[in-house]
Formats: sequence, structure tokens, C-alpha cells
Amino acid sequence: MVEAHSDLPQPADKPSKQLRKDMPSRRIRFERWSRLGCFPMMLLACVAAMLLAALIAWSNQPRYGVFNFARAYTDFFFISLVILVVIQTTAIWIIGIRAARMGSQAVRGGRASFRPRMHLIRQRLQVPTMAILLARGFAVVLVAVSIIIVLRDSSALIQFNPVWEGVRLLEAIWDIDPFFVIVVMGAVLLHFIIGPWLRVRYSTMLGALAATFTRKPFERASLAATARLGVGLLLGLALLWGTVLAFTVVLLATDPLLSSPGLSVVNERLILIERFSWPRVGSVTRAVYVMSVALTIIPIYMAGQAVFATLYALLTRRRLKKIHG
Amino acid sequence: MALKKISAWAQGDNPVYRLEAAKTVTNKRLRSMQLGCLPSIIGVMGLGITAVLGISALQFPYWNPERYVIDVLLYSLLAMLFLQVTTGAALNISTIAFISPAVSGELEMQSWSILRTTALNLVDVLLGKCLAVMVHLRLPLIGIVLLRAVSLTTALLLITFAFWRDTLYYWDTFEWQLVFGQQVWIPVLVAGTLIALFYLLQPMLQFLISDALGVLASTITRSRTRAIATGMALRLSTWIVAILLNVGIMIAFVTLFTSWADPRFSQIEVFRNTTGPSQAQQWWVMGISLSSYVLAVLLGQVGLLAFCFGMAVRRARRLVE
Repeated sequence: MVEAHSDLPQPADKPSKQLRKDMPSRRIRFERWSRLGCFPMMLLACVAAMLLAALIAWSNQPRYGVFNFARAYTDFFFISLVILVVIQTTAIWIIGIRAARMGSQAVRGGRASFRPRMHLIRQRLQVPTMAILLARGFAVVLVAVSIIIVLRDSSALIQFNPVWEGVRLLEAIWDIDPFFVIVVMGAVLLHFIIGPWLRVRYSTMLGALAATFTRKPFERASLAATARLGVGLLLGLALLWGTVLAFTVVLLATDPLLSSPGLSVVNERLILIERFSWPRVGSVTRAVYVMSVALTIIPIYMAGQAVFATLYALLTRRRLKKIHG
Repeated sequence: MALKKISAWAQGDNPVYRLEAAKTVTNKRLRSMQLGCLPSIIGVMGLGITAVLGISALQFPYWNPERYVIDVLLYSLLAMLFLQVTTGAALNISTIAFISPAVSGELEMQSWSILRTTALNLVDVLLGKCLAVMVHLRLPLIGIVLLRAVSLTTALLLITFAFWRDTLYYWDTFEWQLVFGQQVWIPVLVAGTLIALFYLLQPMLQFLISDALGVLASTITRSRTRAIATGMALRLSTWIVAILLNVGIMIAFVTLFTSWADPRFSQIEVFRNTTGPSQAQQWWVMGISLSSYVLAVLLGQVGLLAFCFGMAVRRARRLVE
């Protein structure tokens, strides 16, 4: 079941040659196939998702009477958008782990070959990243077409509420401050396009750094995946616990019993209704709030990914120098 | 210095420990379990939390945001507890699989006699083997301890939030007087701290118990396969006995406590003629009982651990090839 293991450092070799040497041929073939084949697979998945959405929208039509275009398009829009979001979220989650695992293999040759190996890994992840951009592109086109339909003929699509509401709000904000709308849209679009590249860069660097914490080659991939998933978990926990703490503060601040000591509890039902109420603001103001929050979070998130990736690369080189000299 | 004097195996120069810890698992399934456990735990936990947050956000109750907070915490906690039970069981079974061949494997390979002719103490040999298993399974163990810490924090947040919004909110002067005037908070705090500590210590204690049971099974049988089967049987029986014992104790305690606290409706004759205790007394008794129970279980677990290991040493002393 167990055998003795050598802790000697692995010899440096040309990255592609080393990879070929270490992997069984079947695995290399599968790796290459999955790397190059993911783009057409993604294209197929997106087209299939839209066809499925169209089929469901068609079958949801009333059996008798006139064909209701607005209702059919609403169904099609929501179903295809949800499927596309699920596809791209899953793909981006997988590519993060994959990039981290591949990044962990970049440290095998020491400091000298670290940079070319990283370059090679990022090159190999270009096609999967493009596949994610393709899924995002489908979603953008879907939303853009819906906006155009609403703008061209709003009376026919009056049922198409969310897009109709969104366009109406954007128009209202545009009338007040067009620059603000352009900046927010630009930030969202920028994140849409360079987000996957930043994620791949961040994950490879994180995987490489995690791999320097073990001398056993077979433990590198596991440590890299742990680090990548650990960062995701930390974000999830920060969101969960942060939400709870934020609500605690908001509920305390808006508590009618604390703000007016003369008030007493009459019954539970009354308390549930009166204990909290959202600030009364108009829908345009609310939309401006949401856009401001997005404008704050997106640059911080992107800058964090870029800065931390550089920091991880620096730390990895330092650790490799310490280990291999 | 004192530790070095007490336990030679802790110095790191125990050759059995060094050899066993440096070994690499060659069995592909065991190795993938060993290396894949921590990322799987973290990944599933991260996905679970994201899914709970996302699904709850889609059904956000605008009229009652505190419902959202409680729901999110409760469902996340349930997901974590489920993951904890499954991974905990998997880790304990793996521990048995790793440690059971410790002595029986040596007997099979006819190297036990050679090991016994060395200057090494028998306790050091067995402890070295047990500690090496901990080194091999450190990643899953770290994952489970992490999971416990995260779930404990989430549970504390849930209790605090729910208690504040659903209980504290409706307290009147009498209840505030009861808690802080009659020092009822002391037994509650002591019991709560002990329960939290007990909860955090469990993965490590359960791991050590599995280690001791596995090494005992290894000295009972003379082949690796039988040792693993015996170890699994011992582990399963301890789980069943522990569940039955705990359920029995809880039912007995609840019956006795409710009979004592509210003697009018007591099913036990002895309590019917007594006058009920005050609320402060009830809280004190509840706190002290819970604290004693937790301490007794902890002591029982340490005792079981020591007993199994002692039995294993005793049996190993008599083993001949």
C-alpha cells in the first residue's frame, strides 16, 4: 500500500518536454482535446440552451387563440439568460481550479523556468478563457437585442417588465447624468471582457504559490486546488457573515423600540410590521444606489485580482529562490 | 524539556515514526482520498454557502429582512452539519484503514520479531505508528477542524441573531432581573463555552479514538484484511453504543428535569408532592447538568482512548510470529 519516497528536487527541463515526459499519453490527449475542444463545446452548449429556451417558450403558449409574442419572448429571454448564467458560472469556476492546478506545475523546474512555464500555462488556457467570453457574449447579445426590441416597440412588449423597467430607469438616469451611465456601463463591460483573463492569471499565480509549500510533487495540484477553493470559501463566508453583520447594524440603527423609548411591544404581529421599514426612495434613486455600489465594487474586485496575482508571483519567486537557490 | 523527557516519540527521532511518516501511499484510491479530501470539503462548503446565499436572495422577503438572515444562516448551518457528518465518517473509516495494518502487517511480513529486538520501547513503536497516520491524514483532519470552526461561528451568529430578535426583544424587567440580578448568565455561559469547546475538540478526539481502535484491532488479528474488518466493526459498535447511550441519557434527563421543574404534571410519583423550583434554580441546574454531562463525555472519550491503547500495548507484548 505504501512505499518509500524521495524528497529530492525535480530537475529543470524544457516545460513542454517535461509535461510530455510526466504525463501518460492518454492523459495528454485528453488534456489537449479538452483544451481545444471546449470552445466548440461551449458554442454548442449556448446554442442548445437557446433552442431549449425557445422550445419551452413555444410550449408555454396558450393552445387556443392568437400567438402572444411578448409572452413568448419574455419566457425565452429569462430561461436562456438563466441557463447562460449557469453555464458561464460553472465554466469560470472550473477554469479557476484548472488554472490553479496548472499553475502548481510551473514551480517544478525552480526559479529559472518559472516565468516561461507560467507563460506557457496562460497560453494553454487562452482557448478555455475565450470559451467563457463566448458564453458571456451570448448573454450580452441577448440583453442588447431585448433592449432594442423594447426601444423600437414598447407597446407590443409592455408585458416584458424587467427589461422595460431597466431601460426606462436607464433613460431617466441618462437624462440627469449621461456620464455616470457611461462610466457604469463601461466598468461592467470591462469586467465582462477582462474578468476571465484576470481570474485565470490570479488562479495560476495562487496555484504556483500554494505549490511551493510542499516538496512532494504529487501534493502540488491538491494544494493549489485547496488554495483556489479556499479563496472562494473565504469570499462566500465574508459575504454570509458580512450580510448578517450588516443586517444586524441596519436593524439596530432603524429599530423603533431603541429610537423611541416610550414605545412598547403590543403583540408580535405588530412588531414584525413596525420593527423595520426600508427607506422610502424612488425607483430612479434606488437604481442610482445600485449602480454606485456596482461602480465601487467592480474596480476594487478587479484591482484586487491584479494586485494579488502580482504579489503571489513575487512571493513564489522568493520561495523558489529559498528552496532551490 | 519536560515533554521531551516524558515522551521520546515526540522528539522526532523515533525511527518508526520517521519511516512510517515518510512512506507514500501507492494505492491510487487511497491517495486521491488523502489528497482530494481537503479541497473537496472546502469546495463543497463554498458551493453550498454560495447556493444558499443565491437561492435565498432570489426569494428575498422585502417586508421582513430578518427572516432572510435567519434562513440564510440556518440553511448554511444545515449544509455544513450534513457535510461534517459525511466527511467525519469518511475520515474515521480512513483512519481505521490506515492504522489497522500497523501491527498485523508486520506480522504478515514477519518483521515484528525484528522490530521487537530493537531498543525501541513498545509504546514508542505503537505511538510512532499512530502519529504517522495523523501525518498521512492531516489534510482531511485540517478540513474537518476548519469545517467545525466555520459551522460553530455560523451557529453562534444564528443563536445571537435569533435570540436578540426573537427573545431579548420581548423581555420585561422581571426577565432582565432574573438573568443579571440572580446571576443566571453564569451557568448558561459556562455550559455554552464547554459545549463549544467539546464541539471543536470532537474531530481530533474521534480521530484519536479511531487510531486507538485500529491499533487494538491490529493486535487482535494476524492479517491485514482481518485487522481492517475488526477495526471497522469496533468503530461501528462504538458509534452505535455512543448513540444509544446519549439518547438514553437525554431522555432520562429531560424526563427527570421536567418532572422536577413542573411537579403537577409529573409522571413520577416522588416529584408530585414537591413544590416546584424557581426559574433561577432551574437555569442553574440545567447549566450545571449540561456542563457535567459534557465533561463526563469528554472524560469517557479520553478513558476509552487510553483503555484501547493500553489493551493494544498489552496484546502486542504477547505477540509472537
